[in-house]
Amino acid sequence: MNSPTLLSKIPPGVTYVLGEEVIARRAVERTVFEVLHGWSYAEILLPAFDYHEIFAQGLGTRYADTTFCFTDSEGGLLALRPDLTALVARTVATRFGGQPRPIRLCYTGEVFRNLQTPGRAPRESWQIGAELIGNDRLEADAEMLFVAIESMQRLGAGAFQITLGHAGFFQNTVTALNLNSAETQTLFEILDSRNQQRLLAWLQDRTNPQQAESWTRLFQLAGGAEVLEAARNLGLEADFSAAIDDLEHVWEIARVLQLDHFLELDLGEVSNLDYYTGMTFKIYAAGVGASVGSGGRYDRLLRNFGADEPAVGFQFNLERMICLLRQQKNSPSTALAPTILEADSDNLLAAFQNAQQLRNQGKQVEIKTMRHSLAPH
Amino acid sequence: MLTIALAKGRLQEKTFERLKKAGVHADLGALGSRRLSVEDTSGKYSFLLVKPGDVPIYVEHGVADVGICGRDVILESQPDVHEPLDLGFGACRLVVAGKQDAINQGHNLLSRLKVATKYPQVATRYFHERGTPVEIIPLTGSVEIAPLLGLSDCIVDIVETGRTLVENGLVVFDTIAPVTARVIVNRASFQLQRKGLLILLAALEPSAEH
Repeated sequence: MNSPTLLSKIPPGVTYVLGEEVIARRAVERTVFEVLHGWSYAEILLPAFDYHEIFAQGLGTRYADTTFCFTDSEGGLLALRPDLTALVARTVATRFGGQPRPIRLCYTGEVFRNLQTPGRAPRESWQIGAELIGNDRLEADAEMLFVAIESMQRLGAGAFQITLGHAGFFQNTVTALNLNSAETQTLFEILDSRNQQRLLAWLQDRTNPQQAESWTRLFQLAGGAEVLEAARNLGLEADFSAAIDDLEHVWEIARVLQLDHFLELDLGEVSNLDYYTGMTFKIYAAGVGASVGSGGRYDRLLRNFGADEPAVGFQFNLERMICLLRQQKNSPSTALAPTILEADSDNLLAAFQNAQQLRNQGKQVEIKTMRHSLAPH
Repeated sequence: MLTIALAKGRLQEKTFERLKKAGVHADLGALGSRRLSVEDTSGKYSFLLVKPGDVPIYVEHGVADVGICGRDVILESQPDVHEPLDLGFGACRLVVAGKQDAINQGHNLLSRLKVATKYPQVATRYFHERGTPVEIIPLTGSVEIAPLLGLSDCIVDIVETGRTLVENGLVVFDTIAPVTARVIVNRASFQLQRKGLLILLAALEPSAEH
């Protein structure tokens, strides 16, 4: 164990965070929690690991296959948490039985993913988020969106855009075409690639030309409120209209609150759809290259834990958020500037007394003595 | 402005040609030799020329908004990006090839096949899906000589005409995937620069009229 290479070696994807980054991260947590507490979200502290089954049930094999696993003394399979929402959902489903709905909870912490290709996504990443459980109405969707917007504003994140989508468009297409799971996966991949010609050709093989054409148009629609009008004019089935209604109502509330300029509709957005069931959103800002946060409605998750309850939530990726704030030159003042008290053995006692007084005044103090100052290696 | 990463080498000239056809006026020839990046005269685009395998990395991380590269490097690195357009040029195939007698060894499920390739991820996935145990030997060039020197039983590589394979006495056992040049787009850029992107994609389409 004493070999120097082993001492300095760090497993890929693992980070030690120090200095300015810690200050920036804690400041983001504080600000977001202030907003969340303002909306009456109570913080929940979650365990670092739980039974693997919880994550497999909650998230499906996609995440459960990428966990770090180990066993307890009875041979039960445990996993480091790959996700925080599943833990919140399980807790609400099993321990909040008698409490009035909705329940508002928020949390922060790291999640662990045992990814096969190190160097791609980090194995450990920090999230901060909130869940609103037990309300299936649009005001809950809108609330979650506004909590996210308010957090971004309070953080001083500069210009940002929230892309709104809806899981209903994809799900209704899958149902209408009666796709098996392999075909569903293919449709997902084609939509996610954003290749229009491929989508049109694939749909034409499975339905009449008119239907294929209007679905292809639907998934291309993106922009402001006019998108919803255009979607309606495609004359789609009732299930599609329900999704359009959802988005229209949320947009209308945002418009009245003058928050609609942050929003952009994208009916072809399909990422994370094995998870979300209704409105979805992703937060983008220039210079980050990936979404700094995401959220949406997930009405199926709690059913996996024996409680059929609707829920909506969102989370920020803290690493990306800090990357964004740094570009905005908006990371909180980072320099530690303590008052230095120089002392040697004669006046050490006085220095301690002096330091106590200064600290009581709220100052930061560092006592420097000659004998305790060792040269760095 | 959209930053566009282009792949050096095999696709380079055809990519420049297609951009020209799409109405982009830029001194692309200066890339790689004199300049790190060039802008087009309209100031809408900035171009970088990088190694093909690096294009998906630039785009996934958002250093470039758009990339043009072969489907072979996309399959190898599986970047988390959109792939909205097949440009149609640069057609070739990713194949498994080897000396004629090696195919018998492939059918023997107990033997471990040695595979030399520039595409270790593609090769691993292909053989794992077929339950064939393999030892991947990653090489960076001249892959086709590996079987001749006894370094590997077969290779996974791209072939355009197949002439190099024939010259080296190799035969194609299976096609893994057809390959053409593709446009890939960063996910955040797709949302934040949608208008400019859709204009570029329409201009780059193989059937676009100019």
